[in-house]
Order: sequence, then structure tokens, then C-alpha cells
Amino acid sequence: MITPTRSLYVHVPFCAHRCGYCDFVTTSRSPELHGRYVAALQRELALQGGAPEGGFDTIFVGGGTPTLLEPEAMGELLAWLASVQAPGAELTLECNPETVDERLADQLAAAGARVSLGAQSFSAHVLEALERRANPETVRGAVRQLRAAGIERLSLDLIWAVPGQTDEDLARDLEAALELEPDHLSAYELELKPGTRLAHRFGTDAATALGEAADEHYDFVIDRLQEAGWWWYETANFARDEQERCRHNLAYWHADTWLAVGVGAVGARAHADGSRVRRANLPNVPRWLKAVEAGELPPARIEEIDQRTARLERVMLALRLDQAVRIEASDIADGIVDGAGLERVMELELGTALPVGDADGTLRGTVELRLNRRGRMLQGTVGGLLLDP
Amino acid sequence: MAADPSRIRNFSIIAHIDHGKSTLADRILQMTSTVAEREMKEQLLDSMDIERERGITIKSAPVRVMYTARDGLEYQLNLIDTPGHVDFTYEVSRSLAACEGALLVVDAAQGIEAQTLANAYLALDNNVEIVPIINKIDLPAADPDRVAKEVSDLTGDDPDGILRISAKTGFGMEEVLEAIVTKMPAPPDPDPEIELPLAQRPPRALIFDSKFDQYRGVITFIRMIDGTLKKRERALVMQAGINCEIDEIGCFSPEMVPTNELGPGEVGYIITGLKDLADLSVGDTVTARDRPAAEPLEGYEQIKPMVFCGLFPIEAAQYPELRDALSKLKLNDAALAFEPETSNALGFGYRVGFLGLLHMEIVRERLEREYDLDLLATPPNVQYMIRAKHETEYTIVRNPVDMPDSGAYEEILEPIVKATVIVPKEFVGQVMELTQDKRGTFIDMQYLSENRVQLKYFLPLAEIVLNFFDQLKSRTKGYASFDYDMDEHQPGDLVRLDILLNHEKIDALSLICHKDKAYYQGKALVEALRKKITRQFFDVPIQAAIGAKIIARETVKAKRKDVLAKCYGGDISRKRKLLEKQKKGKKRMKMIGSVEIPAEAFLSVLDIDSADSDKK
Ligand SMILES: Nc1nc2c(ncn2[C@@H]2O[C@H](COP(=O)(O)OP(=O)(O)OP(=O)(O)O)[C@@H](O)[C@H]2O)c(=O)[nH]1
Ligand SMILES: C[S@@+](CC[C@H](N)C(=O)[O-])C[C@H]1O[C@@H](n2cnc3c(N)ncnc32)[C@H](O)[C@@H]1O
Ligand code: SF4
Ligand SMILES: [Mg+2]
Repeated sequence: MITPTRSLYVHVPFCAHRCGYCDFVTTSRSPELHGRYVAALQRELALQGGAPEGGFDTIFVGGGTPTLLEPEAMGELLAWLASVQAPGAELTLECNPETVDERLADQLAAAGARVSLGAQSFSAHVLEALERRANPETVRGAVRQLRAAGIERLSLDLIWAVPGQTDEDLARDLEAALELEPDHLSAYELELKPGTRLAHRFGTDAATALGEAADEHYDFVIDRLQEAGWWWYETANFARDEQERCRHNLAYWHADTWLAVGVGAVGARAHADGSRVRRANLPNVPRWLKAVEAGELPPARIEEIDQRTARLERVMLALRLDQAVRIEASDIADGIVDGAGLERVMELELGTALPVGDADGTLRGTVELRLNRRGRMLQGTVGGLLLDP
Repeated sequence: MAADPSRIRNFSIIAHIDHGKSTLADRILQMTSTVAEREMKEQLLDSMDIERERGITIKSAPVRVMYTARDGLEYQLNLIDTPGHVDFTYEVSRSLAACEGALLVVDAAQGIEAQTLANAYLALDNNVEIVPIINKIDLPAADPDRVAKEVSDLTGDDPDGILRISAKTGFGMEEVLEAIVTKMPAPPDPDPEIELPLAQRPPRALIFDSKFDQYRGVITFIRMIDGTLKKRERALVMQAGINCEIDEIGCFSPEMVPTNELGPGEVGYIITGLKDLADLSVGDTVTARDRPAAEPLEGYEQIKPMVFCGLFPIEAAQYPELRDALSKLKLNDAALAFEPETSNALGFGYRVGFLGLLHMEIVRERLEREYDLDLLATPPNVQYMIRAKHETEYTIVRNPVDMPDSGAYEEILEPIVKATVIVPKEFVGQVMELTQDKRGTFIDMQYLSENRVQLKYFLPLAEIVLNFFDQLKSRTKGYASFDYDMDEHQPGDLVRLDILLNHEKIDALSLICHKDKAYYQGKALVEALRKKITRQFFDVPIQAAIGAKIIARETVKAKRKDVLAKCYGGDISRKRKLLEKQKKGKKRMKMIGSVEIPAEAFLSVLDIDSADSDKK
């Protein structure tokens, strides 16, 4: 038994070149594939059972560079997505600044799309270090053009803790981003992904390039954006207001389910008992195309997430959000959440836990845990203290 | 029926590390059809996981094969494959004591190396017949003529008569088997005066090794010297003075195969009901109760450990298990020595003695794997002799904690070794430089052949137990080989270096070092610790001190951020796995006061010297 799912992720793997830090599933396959690819996306969704009745509530088209699609293929994609979405649905497309032109902006605006633009930085040398194609002016121009076409919801991606990025650079990036008046900001610490050129350059032992030196960057990002009135609603995400949060991504952090189509795409479905099955399409374009075009589900890695693990993931993900995390009495009784760890979290002043319902005032029943800023910044540690994988 | 001793040959395969002993043993197993072809694998006798992972032999392994020689007769060959690494020399010497012959394997490309010499001398000491073999002649770099000359200088054999083979391809192996039969003596009659046939005399079996098997208890490896031991027979362990019954007797093929008896000259095993592990120690003699031998065999000289470290369970509750595991492991590792130790920082544990750093590493790994323990090892050190002011007697110090503050003692003696280094002559300069750095005293230099030189030094043991060999290798492009023997203790200008974490002295991190190097060592050690100690919720200062004087300081900055920024749908499993990994890491952490320290941080001292050599 599989419960219906209201979110859809669509992966578009094409990129003009591969940026130095990126390990997403991308390919520089030539434009003649675009039409075929978009057609195959539609077939894959059908193979996976199609859209739910009434359509999807959220759709996220990620990449790769979805906006690299040839205009015709883009039109085809948007038309198809319009046909599978519910009224009032959120449709987001990731967009690279250098791909924005009037025609694309109009297409996106007509589709009512929310656009997530990969700015990354407004310092030329940081963009260079990241091996990006766009320069700061391209980024600004793209924002103007998108707004001019009527894009209402616009998000910018920023990356911090880049080797060579000074405190001043970061300050300037934030100012430049704020000046463009986006509705949403994602500010990611640069991760060194194994196999990328940057990881090769800075060593793969560490997950990030600057390590502890980046503590201050993070502090600074949070300080500055909060000061400007933004809501730090998720570890790396800031919204102008509640409405501007990314509903699709919230589905991930709420441990909901979603369908996913496209090469390398990862989706999650739930069984009635709460256990999950995660499906990750293999990152091989020709094999994906071949299977889907032959009317078969593409080759994928299937991961069964048992009920216990699913419950654990729920707490793990919820810790990322600026909201109380409900920890059920049964989570503690079943050893998913460690009661002593919970107390330790409080002792270390990383957050507060309050009993809910008619509990006896102790933390043995169901509680709501709210992390403070320090706790949210030390969320990995909190997870380690609380959870018993 | 036991075999006729004249048709038995007992020999060890000895060599420098990696010269091909275990591979040669493979060929013998194959050619004698001891192991079925489909069960054959490379270095079959290296049966421990650690041996296979590291590709080296750690334990001597006995095996019996039957060989029909060119004279048409069938011979029982008992071979013992031995380790080549210097830390396991004790395995070699015990194996040799159970043999009359030794195959001395020499790599045709490398020639004679330090452990070739050391093991050849051991064989001579044990009065066994050495049959040298030049192996790996298939290698493109093989130079069998040069190597034959070197070998001939060592053993006195005619260079042209030395067998040249490839254990890998099997080339020349038949000649090796023939040489074993024709050149090595059969087990001799230890007492030719006695008229009674050997097999009927009161039995004497030398215990040369043993191991603990979870299901079968203690398995005792024996070499029959005279007489016969039989299944179900009542036996006596002579020096321990313990009675037992032989529940099972048999030989190695290479797995244990029960037989009815073992006769003079044969090698095999017995299983007795004895449970107390100390009752069947290596070197003791087993005889029969109803026809006991008058005198036990000579046994072995107990080996003295040279390197010591504290081993502590990370979970204090595992202390009794650690004791049990050490006693069981000692059965299979006669060179292991241990005594209880208490540390302020780490609680109850053992001070364990080893023959070297590799030995230490292996023991720890075996304890963790075979006995399911999580252990923490303290920095290794050697044994010192200290004479307090106004005293004439020396006390032995095996733990830096027991060293008094400077000023409180008159004299401290440290162990010195006599070291042999063999290198191509172009590296002599590098060796000289390194040994000087390590406080060495040059003894002499000799040419082994036109191109290869043997250098001898006196060196403080403390200077070589850590990373000396690695440094030697890196400075000589891997060409140097190295061996050493204990010499005497000599006075040294030594001090105790203490480490303070969060302003508290951690006894388990103290070490003894030469005064002139203390400053550098202190600095390097706190630096290494800073890198190993994970960040805590508060700043943790790390200091090095000599007495009350702080000589170096570093700080592990408090962590303020610990989260990976990006988490989209495809990242969830990865995030969870990270959490699992973090949890596993926790198990290898030790709380000391309010500071959490990874067990590995205690061995940071091992990182220092390599940093030193990088600098050059
Ligand atoms: N080319 C070649 N390689 C050989 C030969 N004999 C052994 N080797 C290789 O040399 C390496 C070491 O062989 P081992 O048999 O493990 O050497 P060992 O002497 O038992 O080593 P330790 O027990 O660790 O001292 C292996 O990679 C073998 O495959 C040979 O005749 N020719
Ligand atoms: C799926 S990626 C690709 C989006 C789009 N193609 C682009 O490059 O702008 C979405 C975002 O993830 C972030 N990202 C990608 N790799 C990262 C890394 N190694 N470390 C931190 N953030 C990364 C970037 O901010 C990027 O905009
Ligand atoms: S960062 Fe974006 S544009 Fe760059 S390679 Fe990755 S997906 Fe493509
Ligand atoms: Mg071997």
C-alpha cells in the first residue's frame, strides 16, 4: 500500500560546463537530446503511476541547468507541468544567470514559475574560484530581466566559505543580494564533494574547505539577514516572510513523500505502516533514456527505509527548521531518541524542551524541542546527542 | 603408526620480510597435493585476517606434507612458515628450535637484507642445517649471480650450487624438495647411548606454540623429540607439574587432522582438558604419566619485551574481558607480557610489553577483533633504569608516570641497541645523517658486495621504536633494511614531558625524551594533539610541560557550527549515514574530565617524527 504523494521533483541534467564544486548529476549532452529528454520525463511519470488526482501541489525542476533547455523543449516541459499541477501549486525552476534572456523570462513568467537563480556570489574572484560562467553583472542583469517579465517569486542561491572569499567579500555578497530584493535566499556553505575539482584542490578529508574558519561566516550570514528582517527558517534558507518559504523543499524537511523523475532523481514514497522506500535513478543518461523510451522504469537504486529509520529521519530533518520538533513519548521509549541526550541538549543550553499534553511535567512523555541559535548552528552535534541510528 | 624418523625432515622457511617464504610454502603444498587445487590461494598459510589484509606473515604456521623423493621413498616433511618482520623474530627462533633444517630464502633482486642475516644467525645458533634458496629469479631486476655471491659469503655454499627458483611460477621447486630430503638431516637421536629404540623411550614433546580456540580450548603445538605420545593417554606437563589427559592428538594438514599418536621427530598438536591457560606454556615439555622422562627439555629463553604501552578499555566495564583476552592471546603470542596498571586519566588497564611497534599494533588489533574489545593505547615507551639521589640501586621504569621529576634522581639509564643497516652505497650519507639525528654512535661499515654496504651503530632504543624504520626507508628510497639486537643500558640526559589538557595533567600522555629534543617534541606533540582532538563546546588548551615549566601551547577552539548546509531530497540518506558514522566515532571517544578525546589521539606521538622527517 502506497499513500498518494503531492510533490514532484524533475531533474534536468544539462549544463554548459561543470562548475568546480558541483557533483550533481549533470551532462553536457548536446541540445538535440532536449526534446527527447522532456518527452521521456513525461513517460517516466506515467510509469511511476502518474500525477495524483487534482495534480501536484509542489513541483521543483532542478539540475543541472533546467534553463539550458532549448526554447521548444522548455515550452513542452512547462506545458506538461501545467497539466499535472494543482490550482495554486508552487512550481520552481532552478535557473542559471547566463541562460536568462527575454524569451526565457517570458516563458517562465507565463508559467507562473518561482525561479531559484544560482547567483553564488557577487565577487568576480569568488565566482572564478567556483569556476562559474556568470560574472556579477550577468547575475544582476538576470534578476532584472526576470522581474521585468513578471516573475513574482524569486530566490537567490549564495555560497559562502569559499577559499579566497574574505569577510568583506561575504559582506558585499549579502548586500548585493539584498539590494536585488529577492523573496527568498539560500546561503550554502561550500561543501567539498569527493570527485570534484575543488575537492581535489583542497583535499577530500574535510567536508568543507574552510573548516572552523567558516564559523564566523555562518554567524555573519545569519546576523545580517536577520537584521534585514529575514526569517532563518531552515539551516541554509531564509525567507522574506512565511509565504515565501519554499513549499517543495519543506516537504523534504517535513519528511513527506514526493515523486521524482529524470536521470539521477531521488524520490520517496511511504508505505501505510510509515516505512519508506527511496528510489534513486542511476545517473546515466543513455541508460535512463533507453529504459524509459522502451516503456520500462529506469534502472535505480532502491533503498528500503524501515519504520524506525523513517521516524529517526523525521526528527533529524525537523531539527533543521525554525520550529518546535515534536518528539513523541514512543520515540524515546523505542530508543529512537535518547532521553539522556535530550537532557544533555538542554544542559548544554542548545535548546529547550517542553512537555506537551497532560504529561506530568517531566520530559518522559511527548515533548516539543526548540533549538536556540547555538543549537541550530550545532545541529549535527544535537542530532548526535539525540538520535540513535 | 608413527613415521620412521629417518623419513622425516623438519624445517623452517626463513627470510627477510617479503622475500617469498609463504609463496614458497604454497608451492610445496601444491606439489605435494596437500591442499586440493580448488582450495589453493596465495599465501595459504597466512590464515589470519590481519595477515591477509597486510600481506605479511605474523604467526609461524606448521604444516605436514608427504613427499615421494627421487629415491622412490616417501618422506614426511614438517615445515614451518615463519614471519620476516623483525618484531616477530621470536616466532622464528621458536620455530627453529623445533627443526633440524632451514630454507633460507633470498630475493634475487634485493639480495641479502638485514633480516636475512639476523635469521641466518638464528639458524646457526640453533644448529640447524641451512639450505639457501635464491627466489624470484623471474623478476626483471633479478641478479642471481650477484646474490649468489652474497649468499655464499654468508653461508659458505658454492655460489654455483645455490638453487635459483621462482616460487611464484614454480620454476626450480622440484630441486628444492629434493634438497630438503638430501641436504637436511633427519631428526637425530638425542641420546645415542641409550639402546632402547627411540619410539619406545619415555616421550618428550617440546611445546613450541599454542593457541586458544573458542570451541576446543587450548591447542598445544608440539615437536616430539623422543618416545611416542598417544591419544587418550595420561600426560604430564613437566615444568608446570600438571597432569592432564590427551583428548586429541594430530598433525597439521594445514588444518588439524587427528591421528592416533605422534612418534619421535614428528610435529603436531595435542588438545588436553587443561583450562588454565598458564599450565601449558611455550617451552615446557609434555611426557607420559606412566613412563615419564627423567628430565624436561631445555625449553626457550623467555623473550624480553622492549616497547611498552598502556592498554585501556574505552569502556571501563570491559576491564575483566581485557584481562581474559590478554591471557588467551598470550597463548598464541609467547612474546606478549603484561601487568596491571592504573591511570588517573584512564582508570584500570594493563601495561603491555611488545617486541616492537608493529607487534604493538598487531596485538591491539587482534585484541579488538578477536575478542571484540574497544581499546585505547597510550604512547609507547622503552624501559628505563633510574637511580634516586643517595641510592645505589636502580629501579626499573616502564611507565613515564613513574619517572620522578628531574632533580629527584641521580642517574637514568636507557636501553641501547646494536643496529645493522644494509643499503646501496649511495645512501650511506643519508643513513649517517639520520642516525646522527637519532643520537647514534657509529661502530663500523662493511661492503657486502661492490655496491652494498652494511653499517653498524649503537642507537638508543627509544629513538628507533617509533618511526625510525619509516624514516630510514623514505630517505633511502625504500632500499634500506634494518635489524637490531639489544645491547646494554647507558646513561642519558632524559626528561619527562607532561601534557596538560584543559589545565589538567593527563598522566597517560606523558613521555620520556632527550632533553635536547624536549622542546621540539613538546611543540610537535601539542600540535598533533590539536589536530586529533575534536572540537568541544568550550576552548580546550593543550600544554606541554617539563616539571612546572610550560614549553608549548595550542588551543582546540570551541565549535560553534556543526551542520552541513545543503539538504535536498537526494541528501537525506547521506545525512543519516553521516549521523551513523558520527555515532560509531563516539564509541572510540574517551571522556577525560569534561573533555572528549578520540582514542587515536593518545598515539599522536607517533605522528611527530614523521613530521620531523617531512621537514627535511
Ligand atoms: N615475481 C615474484 N614474486 C614473488 C615470488 N615469490 C613471492 N613473490 C611475491 O612477493 C611478495 C611477498 O611474498 P610472500 O610469500 O608473502 O613473502 P613472505 O616472505 O612470506 O613475507 P612475510 O611473511 O611478510 O615476511 C608477494 O607479492 C609474492 O607474490 C617469485 O618467485 N617471483
Ligand atoms: C542543484 S544546484 C544547481 C543549480 C544551478 N545549475 C546553478 O548552478 O545555479 C543548486 C545549488 O546548490 C548549491 N551547491 C551546489 N554544489 C554545492 C556545493 N558543493 N557546496 C555548497 N553548495 C552547493 C549551489 O548554490 C547551487 O546553486
Ligand atoms: S553548479 Fe549548476 S551549472 Fe554548475 S555544474 Fe552544477 S548544476 Fe551545472
Ligand atoms: Mg609470509
